[in-house]
Amino acid sequence: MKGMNQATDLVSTGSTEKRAERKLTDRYQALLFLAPAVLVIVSVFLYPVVKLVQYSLQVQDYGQWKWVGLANYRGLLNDDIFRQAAKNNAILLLCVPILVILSIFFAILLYEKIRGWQAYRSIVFLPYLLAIPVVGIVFSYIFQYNGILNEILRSVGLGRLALDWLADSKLALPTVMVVIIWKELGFGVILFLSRLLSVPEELYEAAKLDGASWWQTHWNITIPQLRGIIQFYSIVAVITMISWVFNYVYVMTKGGPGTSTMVSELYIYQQGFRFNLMGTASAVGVILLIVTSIVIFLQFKVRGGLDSDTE
Amino acid sequence: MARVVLRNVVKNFGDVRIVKNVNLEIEDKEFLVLVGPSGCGKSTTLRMVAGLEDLTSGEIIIGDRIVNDVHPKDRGIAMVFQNYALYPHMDVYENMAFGLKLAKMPKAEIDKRINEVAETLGITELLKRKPKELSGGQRQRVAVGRAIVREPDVLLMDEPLSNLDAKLRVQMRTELIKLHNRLKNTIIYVTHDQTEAMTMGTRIVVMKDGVIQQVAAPQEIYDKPVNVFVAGFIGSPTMNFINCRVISDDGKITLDAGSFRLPAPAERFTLLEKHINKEVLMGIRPENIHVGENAAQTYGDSRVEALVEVVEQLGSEVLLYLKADRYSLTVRAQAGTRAATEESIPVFINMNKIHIFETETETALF
Repeated sequence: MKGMNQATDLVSTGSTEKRAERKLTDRYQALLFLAPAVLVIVSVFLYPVVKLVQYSLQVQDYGQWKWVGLANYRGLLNDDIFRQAAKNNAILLLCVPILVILSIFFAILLYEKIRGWQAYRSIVFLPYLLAIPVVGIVFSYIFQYNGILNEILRSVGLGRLALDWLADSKLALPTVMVVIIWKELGFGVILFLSRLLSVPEELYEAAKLDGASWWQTHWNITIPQLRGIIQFYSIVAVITMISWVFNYVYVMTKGGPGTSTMVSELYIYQQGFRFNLMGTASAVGVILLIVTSIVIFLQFKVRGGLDSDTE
Repeated sequence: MARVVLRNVVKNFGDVRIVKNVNLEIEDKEFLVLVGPSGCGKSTTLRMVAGLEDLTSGEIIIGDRIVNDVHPKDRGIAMVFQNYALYPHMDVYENMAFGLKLAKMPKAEIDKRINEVAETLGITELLKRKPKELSGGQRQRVAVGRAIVREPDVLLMDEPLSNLDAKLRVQMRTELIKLHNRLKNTIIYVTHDQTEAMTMGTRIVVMKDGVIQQVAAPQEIYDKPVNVFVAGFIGSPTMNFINCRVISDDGKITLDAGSFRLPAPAERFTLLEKHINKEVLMGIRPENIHVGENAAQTYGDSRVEALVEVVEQLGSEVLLYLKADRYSLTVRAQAGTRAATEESIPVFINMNKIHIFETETETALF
């Protein structure tokens, strides 16, 4: 009997070893399969990031990179133009609530199938399909002092409102914001509309029977149902305003008049490619990366709980 | 509480007429069931009562006022939807309180009502849960709770049990009947399930293609269907139908089905005499076809030879699916009845229980 037990022990020990060995092989196999993807990610993402951080801590001196620690960052804090760019990026964030509110409003209008809603849906989405430089050039013409907008204003007797939209330092940034909102709105509308279309119609019918008015229905039913999408879209829009507005500004104002429409991306471009200050440009790049990473982190955190209430 | 009257109610969707001139009177405290196949217009009719659909023409009266142009919230109705339609972002309490809050009811009164209803329905411990944290049965209860907490005159239910599994459906059926007995409000209940209709309704309205076929108490609908559609729709397993020619034979009337002949009951001669040499449709329910020795003695003159195709042992009874000539017959036999497939057996029809329908109009002679 004792001999038998020993034999059983041996067998079980043997099988445990085998299992462990197999586990190890499986793990190597998994790593092997993952390797190409890891390599691609490292080479196209991690390597540039490391290089960016490295450059941000150096300056180029006659073709030679010299280590300067945080000097580039300190320089940025004292640079009025960078501060203006950061401030403008912050002002552009005002577009986010406007985009969210307008997108929801238009999505609801389309959802309620106003006459010709299918045509409106295409019209609203059309600007989103256009290339930003095209949009920028077209709107540059529209907003010129002698552009179409002012001509229309003058022709209807509102000549006093015909302003120099892009050449006035107080008006240029708000004008750029209008163009950004016009261009980006379509994405939000389609996003909210697609979510609305998946909300069971019975919820609205139940609200109607409960005595909810139009406003109460959308405030109590629609908005909570869109909560996840609102959070997602807001984060996308924030990222856009922080690091995706270069094209608009470059085509329409080149940061002017003066530095009134300067944004971080344009600042990077000017420092890096016009003044050949790659260290400074890299430092701004790192700052943008950190800010957008924080936003993305928040997005992931938010998305973790967003599905819970809308099932 | 209130009675509901539908007068010449018509509903068109585009060019298609979904509800065709419906006239119906639902008494106060009645549990009326609208039943029919998909697309028969029963849900549309209910939604018109709710105010979720406008009428093309006609009148709907709740209590003593015409409500055609009255907003749903002011009709004194509440509705339980097929998919419950609970607000997913609100907990059970908030779901139930939503309508009351909109009606600007004092918080203390809302609390009182919700607690009472929650206790009645056994959902007190669920009040702080969100709908996704509830089972199908619990959601269904909450949906009912949300409706009755408003203390409606008329409670409308649109297939409220169809999303539940079979066992839970039977349980909820009983609970809804008990609830009606306790609350005594007028209920209009839509279902496509004839068993639900038979077990729950004080009266049943059978609809087809937007037209009311019959309005009667469950047993009356079962025993005296007015046409082939009602006869076939109500009852499970469904009624058996046999095409026959009415023949006068030496002072008696027989029904000639081709390969077999069946004697018509003497008390029906008067009705059948007008149809001598005409085709009619005979209907007989599965429990009125018998097998075995005793049946041979009792109903020996209405014997039909049939081939056993399928035998279903249900424990409490046995269902035999047979072929007699070109007719498929279903027989509900007693538990323990033995029959082998492909075997030819004699079955005996209780001719006192037959139904006869005119072939052309499909309306019942008796």
